[in-house]
Amino acid sequence: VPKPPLYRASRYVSIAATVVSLILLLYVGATIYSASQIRPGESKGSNIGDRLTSAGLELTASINFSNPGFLPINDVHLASVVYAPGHGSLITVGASPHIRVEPGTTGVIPLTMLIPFGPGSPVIPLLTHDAELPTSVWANVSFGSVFSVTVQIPTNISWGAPFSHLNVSLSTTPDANGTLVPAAQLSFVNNASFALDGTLALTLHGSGGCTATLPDFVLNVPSKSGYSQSVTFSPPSSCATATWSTLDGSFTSPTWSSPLPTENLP
Amino acid sequence: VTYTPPDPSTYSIPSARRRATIAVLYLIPGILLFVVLPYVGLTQLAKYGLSSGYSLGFLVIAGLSLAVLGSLRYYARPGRAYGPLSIAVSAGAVLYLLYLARSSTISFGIGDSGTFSLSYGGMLLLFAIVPGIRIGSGVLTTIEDLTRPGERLPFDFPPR
Repeated sequence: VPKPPLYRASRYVSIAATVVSLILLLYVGATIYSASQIRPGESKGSNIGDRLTSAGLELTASINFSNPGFLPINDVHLASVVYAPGHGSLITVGASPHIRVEPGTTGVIPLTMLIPFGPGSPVIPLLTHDAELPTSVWANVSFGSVFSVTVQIPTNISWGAPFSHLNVSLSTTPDANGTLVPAAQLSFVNNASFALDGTLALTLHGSGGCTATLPDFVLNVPSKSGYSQSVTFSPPSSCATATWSTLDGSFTSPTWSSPLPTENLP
Repeated sequence: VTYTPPDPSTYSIPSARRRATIAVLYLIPGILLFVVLPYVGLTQLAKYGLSSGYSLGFLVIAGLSLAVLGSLRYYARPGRAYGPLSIAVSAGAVLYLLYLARSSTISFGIGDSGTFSLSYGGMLLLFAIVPGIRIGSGVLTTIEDLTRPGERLPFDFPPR
């Protein structure tokens, strides 16, 4: 006796469901096994570098992602957030493109962050102060449509200030006529990873609303080097007896320019 | 065309008592799959301080309901309730998996203050395809039983 068509169809659908469940079990098992073979950060290590651009300091980290498994990793993505010391203001965020890593290959995941310079930049207060910047890095990895892993790692980025320990010492010095004139000695250490090649303009602020502009300092300071230079200056005659208390200024170079934070004078 | 139900001599339905006994035995794998496995998994995770966000009470109640529905389905196989119960069991399993997929992330700390999060919702959604297909089978059986009652009995319960 032939089986009724609806009964037969129902049985076929039921068998199809069983076959699908077996295929899914195999697929999930294979994905888990393949994912267990992944070794992030292996294969020739990972590189971190920086580059000075007109937009600011570009930090790049290239993380190698080795996939010796037999299934592709659909999506590897890195993201990062950098804060001012003490989890203060947001300095910058970074992200990588979404990368697919084929089986048996090593994918390079580039994470790029831009620390902007210029007016309004959150990094201005750090131009004269070295700091450890709290940073969070997220790695998101998706395996097929089965599962995804997110690893969040807090770390610190060591920030070397280009005008670290900026200081201006005021004194008097005799000029060619033997008259005592005000003098300022500028000193700082370039702890940044890049050279300073430009002009530094500084202005003193003092009691009674007095201001005095120092002669421009022409800088050519290699990375990790100190700088010290004395100049004489001429405050307005009405400010001859002013007490100078704060200092501000700006740095200008062909590549980047930025105001400096206001510093107290010793 | 008029439909004539099959002659009762062409099939042999097990007694209600026998079906009830087997239905109770059917409860065992159902409870293992839908109640014991999630419960043990979650309590083991909790031992390591990992919280999944699932309600243990909901898992037990939903799991027991699915296991009991599965047993009732077996018991009702000779009757017209078999198709609708098949649909109910499959739809319940789909909803159960969708609920599990909703908060399917496990997080734990690594190092001083890092975190590791594993999301497996995609896997549960994939497995929800299986009961989803089985709903189709239940629908076909329901239509078969409505239009031609008893026609499948000689094939489901061949004479001994």
